[in-house]
Amino acid sequence: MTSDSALNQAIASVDAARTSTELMQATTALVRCNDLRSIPKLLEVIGFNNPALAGVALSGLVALGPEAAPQILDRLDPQNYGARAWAVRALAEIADGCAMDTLVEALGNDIGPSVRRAAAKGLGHLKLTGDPDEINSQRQRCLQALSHGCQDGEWVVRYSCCASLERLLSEGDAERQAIQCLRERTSATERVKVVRLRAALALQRLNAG
Amino acid sequence: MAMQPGADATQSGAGDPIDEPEALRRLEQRDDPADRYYAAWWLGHERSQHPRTLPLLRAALQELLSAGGQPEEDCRALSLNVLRAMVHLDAGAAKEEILSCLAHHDSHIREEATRTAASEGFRESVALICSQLSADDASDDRLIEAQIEALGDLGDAGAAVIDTLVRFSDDPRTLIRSATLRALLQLTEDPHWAREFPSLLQSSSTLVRRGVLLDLGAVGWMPALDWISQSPIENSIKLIALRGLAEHPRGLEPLSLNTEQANQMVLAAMDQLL
Repeated sequence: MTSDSALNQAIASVDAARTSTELMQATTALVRCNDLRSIPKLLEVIGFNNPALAGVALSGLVALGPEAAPQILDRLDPQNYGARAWAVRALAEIADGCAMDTLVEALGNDIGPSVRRAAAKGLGHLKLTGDPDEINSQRQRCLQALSHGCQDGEWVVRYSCCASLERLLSEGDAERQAIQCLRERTSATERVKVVRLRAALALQRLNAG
Repeated sequence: MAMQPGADATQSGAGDPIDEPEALRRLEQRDDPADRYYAAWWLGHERSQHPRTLPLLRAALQELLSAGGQPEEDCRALSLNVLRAMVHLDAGAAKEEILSCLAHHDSHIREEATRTAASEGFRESVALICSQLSADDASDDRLIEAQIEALGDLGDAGAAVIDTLVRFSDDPRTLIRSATLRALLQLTEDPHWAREFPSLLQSSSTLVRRGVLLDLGAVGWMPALDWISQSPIENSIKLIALRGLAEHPRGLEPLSLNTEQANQMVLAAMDQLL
């Protein structure tokens, strides 16, 4: 946690930036504050449609850890799917279980393929907590959402679901239905070769080819 | 590679969800040009294999070709969508119409026909494309880019093709230079033609950086794996480029990699970008 003045100054510098170089420097300084109060401004920066800048803001959000997740969840931008994709990536990398509902909903229904892609990534990485029954039911929910996502119209979302299914299935029981979804992605039903390659790699690593 | 307009559903035509019979009906009718336009796009997007699809699409091109010098705008727009749709279909039976469009006086029609001919692998078009590229009025950037990309995709590495391409290898227009290097790499796999890509990827223009990245993906140039992964571009474009490296890797020999090793490296890089 930084002093109020350092934080306020960093936020003011972001607002005052006139060039992309200034904005990058100011955002880097804001990230260095490592302060939960920087989240709204980092989420604003993430929506500027500048990948290099968004990458810096993303690393700042992720570094703040699980405590940042509720604020990010509250502030997902319904109007800007580019920004939403970055925010969902942050949630995916923070991997706190509180994001599960949002990630399931995003994978199933978000209009932005990059949002669905990031949500699928998140569902493979969440740290599940609770007693064994709770963990199992959360895992089932992730598996179900990812299996469903294997039918997405965008190849990159199907790819992301395959990668996450591999990750989830490598810990815990190898669910027959999820394995079946991966097998289907290696077959001729899947018209995109890189998805077939990824699904085959997953099955190979799971010894389930 | 320039970003193509009309590449997704939201831009290509509004309307309620339709099914294949409805798309065929809309393409066949003559009352509503917008319906025909949408139907042509739909059939391509859905990879329609219905036996009536290709004959109806061919008929639309024949209308254009028989319209002579001044086709109606509706007819021209429909033909452009038909040519784009054929990229997604097995349109070998439409070879005659596609090759005729390649010589059409409208440069936009020529451009789309060039892409379609390349995707269908019509090597008959190579000589015509080379002669068009050698013509003096080579000033339509998008057309030139499409023609150069087609030469790379068609896989004819004869001296005439290489000579034509080399003339564009130091073109001042960045995207045309990138397309040329892409085609030369596809045809020769000579790393010499890859040397300029790292500096092209540092272009100050986002549009150029995206185009260059997609060119590297179209080649499947494995030595570019790290350049692609680390370039300051949104992950969606990097993933499209890396897909090319996974699906048709080139340039493995200098890296001493076999295809399986290359695949694993590319998939690992893609996993990091999801």
